[in-house]
Amino acid sequence: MEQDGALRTLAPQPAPVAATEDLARTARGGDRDAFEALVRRYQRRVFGLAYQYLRDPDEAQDLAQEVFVRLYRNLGQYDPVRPFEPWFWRLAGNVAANYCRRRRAPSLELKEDAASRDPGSDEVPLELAVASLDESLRLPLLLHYHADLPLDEVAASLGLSVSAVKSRLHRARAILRRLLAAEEPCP
Amino acid sequence: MPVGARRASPSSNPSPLAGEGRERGEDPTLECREVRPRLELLVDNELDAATAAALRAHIAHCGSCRSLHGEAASVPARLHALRSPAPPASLIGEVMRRVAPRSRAVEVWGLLVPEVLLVLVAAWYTSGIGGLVEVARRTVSDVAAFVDWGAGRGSLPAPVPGDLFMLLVTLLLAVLTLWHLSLLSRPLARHVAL
Repeated sequence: MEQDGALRTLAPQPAPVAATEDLARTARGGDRDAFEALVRRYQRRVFGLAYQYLRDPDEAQDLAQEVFVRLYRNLGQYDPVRPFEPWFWRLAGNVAANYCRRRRAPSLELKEDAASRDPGSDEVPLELAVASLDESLRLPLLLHYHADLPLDEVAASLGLSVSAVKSRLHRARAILRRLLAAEEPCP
Repeated sequence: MPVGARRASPSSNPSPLAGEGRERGEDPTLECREVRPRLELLVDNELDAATAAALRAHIAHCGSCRSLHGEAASVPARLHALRSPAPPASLIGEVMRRVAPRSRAVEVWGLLVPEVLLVLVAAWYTSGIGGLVEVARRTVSDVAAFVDWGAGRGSLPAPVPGDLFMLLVTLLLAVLTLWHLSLLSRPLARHVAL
């Protein structure tokens, strides 16, 4: 038994994963390695969110970069005693919303494309249907279902109540359902 | 109670359209148009038990609502399964390049270049101390003339264009120097972090 215990002690232990808040606190103090670790940790979700938001890989990369640069510049405003994720996603949501306002909105084409399809004809791809949603519905939807944020964190990120977030998610999903399925009129 | 649940309850709010728009052979208490807006609430279990049971009874008998309910139930899973391409390998490098701190020495002492240039221009214009005294004397004279004009004792003086140029150079030099001093007084750690 003791030998087993000794062997377990000698066996290589996986490197402990630093808590996000610890990384953010360290990065806030000027540690570039900690900041890079934060970027590495969030790049997939941020890029994925940006891609679903913009439907263009190049623009998604621009937006993801913008999010991380803004994170770096605003780390001084992060309160290390509070959870990092809601603060971060609120910042990311603001950057995404500003980015969309600045660019010429291709989502209009998507909206027209999705809207002009005959409900009885081919199905509208889900990505296209999501892109056609109004911004106020699209962002909470992507934060919850794509970035996997729980409802309370989506609410904190967007400065909304949980019930308001739920309401927006229901509305968004109802619109998606109507776009995705050929809804027969009530008899 | 979720919003809308009361309206869905046939006992609390019988539809004024009862008897209209109802499929034959369905649950008689609800209409499709009452069921469909609540499908997402039903999927998320956000309705009270009685309303949910009424909706389920309707769905069990109504083919089109059943199909829409299936669609509504599938949307969250399909959203979770949305695939995005992997982030480009260059993303982290680009971000780190954009946030790389500029050399503090270059940032702080680089300002000396425009400052020295401005001093040289001023020195050239004033031709040494004598010229500087002359500019000061003219400035005092201009100010006195402005005061007289303000008091109604004289006409508006026409400033010498060269003096305006010197004024501009001096103001620019003052602003640059103040900015430079603020940079020099900033602590190193804060400079790097932000």
